[in-house]
Amino acid sequence: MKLLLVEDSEALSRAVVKALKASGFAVDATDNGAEGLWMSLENDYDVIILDIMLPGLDGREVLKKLREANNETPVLFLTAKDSIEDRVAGLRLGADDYLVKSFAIEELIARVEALARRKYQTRSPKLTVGDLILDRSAKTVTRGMQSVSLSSQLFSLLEYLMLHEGIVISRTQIEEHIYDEQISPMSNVVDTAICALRKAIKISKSNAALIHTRRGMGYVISEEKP
Amino acid sequence: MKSIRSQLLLWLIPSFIIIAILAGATLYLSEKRRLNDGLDNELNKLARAVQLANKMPMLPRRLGTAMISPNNIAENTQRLLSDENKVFYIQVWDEVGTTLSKSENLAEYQLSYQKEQHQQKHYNSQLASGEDIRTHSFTISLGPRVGEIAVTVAIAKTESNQKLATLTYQLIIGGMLFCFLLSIILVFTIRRTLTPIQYLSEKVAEVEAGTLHNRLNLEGVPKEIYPLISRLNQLLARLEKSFERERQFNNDLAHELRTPLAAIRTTSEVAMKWPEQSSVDDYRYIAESSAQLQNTIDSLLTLARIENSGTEILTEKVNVFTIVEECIALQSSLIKERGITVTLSLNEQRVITSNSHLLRIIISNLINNSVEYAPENSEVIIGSKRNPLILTIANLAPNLNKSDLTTMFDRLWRKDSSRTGTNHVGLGLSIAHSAAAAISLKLTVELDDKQILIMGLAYE
Repeated sequence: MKLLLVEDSEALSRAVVKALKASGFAVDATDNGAEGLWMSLENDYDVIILDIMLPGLDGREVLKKLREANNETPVLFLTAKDSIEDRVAGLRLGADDYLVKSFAIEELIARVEALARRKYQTRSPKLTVGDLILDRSAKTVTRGMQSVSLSSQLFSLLEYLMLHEGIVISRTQIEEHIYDEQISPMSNVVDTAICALRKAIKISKSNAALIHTRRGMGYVISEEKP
Repeated sequence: MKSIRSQLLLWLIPSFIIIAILAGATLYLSEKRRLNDGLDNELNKLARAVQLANKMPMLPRRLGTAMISPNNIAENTQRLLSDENKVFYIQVWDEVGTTLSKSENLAEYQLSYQKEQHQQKHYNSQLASGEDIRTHSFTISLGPRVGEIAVTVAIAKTESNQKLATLTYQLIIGGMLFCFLLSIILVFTIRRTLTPIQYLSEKVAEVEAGTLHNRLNLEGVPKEIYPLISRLNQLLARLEKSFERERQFNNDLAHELRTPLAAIRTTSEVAMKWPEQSSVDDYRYIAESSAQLQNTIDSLLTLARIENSGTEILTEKVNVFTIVEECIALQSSLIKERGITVTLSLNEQRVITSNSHLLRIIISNLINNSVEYAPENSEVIIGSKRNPLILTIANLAPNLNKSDLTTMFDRLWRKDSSRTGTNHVGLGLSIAHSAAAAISLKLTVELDDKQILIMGLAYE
């Protein structure tokens, strides 16, 4: 899952980015509204976390321009404005959620996860492919009856593949959704991660391979080999 | 509570009733006078006829004198009383008041004898039978031998009384009907006339904090209440502006308090949940956010204390130059960091009577504001241009415009509407403004054509 955080308070932005990354999200961050809008239009984010009072371009203007550009990425307003009028105005403008500062970081993460689920039209936090089960809420992966231990990035990669079960996902798509803008496009980080993930979910020799390579196109996760 | 409608009805209906009664009475008296005049005419004609009928003939002396006897006057005039519709009466008296003759229809009744016939010619009277009559008394001279005789003719008022009674009845019924119709018309008219007031009261009742942008409609409003609605609209505009400022203050304050608080809370929670990712920077950010919060709260408390200081302010002789020098010294590191040149051209001996603590707060905030927001490597000029001014501080302000001058003393005002950055809350000028008001001084601000912002401290 790749998120964009647009927040002008450096201290808050730094802590939120750290928490989101620790929860397995790839996070891009900016402190400027105009730059946030440009990044939103240029990249395919799963969720955008947007402050309202921003330099460059007001958060409400950013959202308005996003929706005018038919960008339907879920947006969560993270703001100090707590009046009912502000909340209603924000939601009517097209925001999907509204969280007032200060907040519990767990609540922010849960709301972001809910918005991401909504994007992929899944109500249940559990994703299943064959005997592999990923619980997005408990952040656990099990195969058969055995628990699989994954780093946050591998968890995100598996989650992304399972959300697109049976669909070929290119390396670029994986880079865009799992890794933040710091990653070099020429690196083989995706191949390395896929390799590590295959190893991690193959607990015993009897386990069938679930992640398949489509040469020149990308990777696909499915119970049966395509 | 008295309503305009009831007040109008309370005054108008009785007034119209009184007018109707007066009009009816006038009409009644006029008709009565007309009828009496008619009767008097009849009586005059009768009197004339009586006089003619009993005029002494002027026969030649040689034929002897034929004397008219007063006793025959009634008989002489009997032929005149041939009108069947009118009842005439006549009675004649000699000079001493003895009845000489009277008409037969009087029977045993008597007309009243008037000793002074010339005093009252026509008058109302009543027969002993109770019948109302109109009478006319006069005298007839029957020659030197007989002398004058008194004659009274009368006519029954039965017919005219009936006419007056009918008129009275008509006037009472008509008057009541008139008052009833008038009341209905009044109620209807007043209701229609007061419709704009009803509309106004409904519209004013709809005014809430969220609908202050709406204005009362002035179209088709009577000119009497046009000024009222116009003033109400002006009041709404002022209220809207005040609410907007209050809302802006609340938003700004929420931002100034919640954002550093959120940073502290989130940084702490992240450090606790993922301790392996925490670093010394976390503590630095927490310390900075705490300092920012403290700065905001201290500024708000200072502002509140100044605004509530009331009469507790003590004054003393204060040297302005000394305070300015102290404040510049306090800002020396910032002045150096930003390459600001401070030019001081104040009278070193200028002493004023004021509160040194509040004066220091004002001057310190003004100098800090100038040094902080003037472009780097520019000049800040501190002087006193005119006599009423205690001091002026001028600096280049390329980002300001004239409209900012009206709001820059508002609490939490910042040119940067996004309120990014942590050094300033936007209370410095507000504090200076309140402090100046507390010691009977005022802050003035102007922006000249060269974008030079001149803040002045002057006597009120």
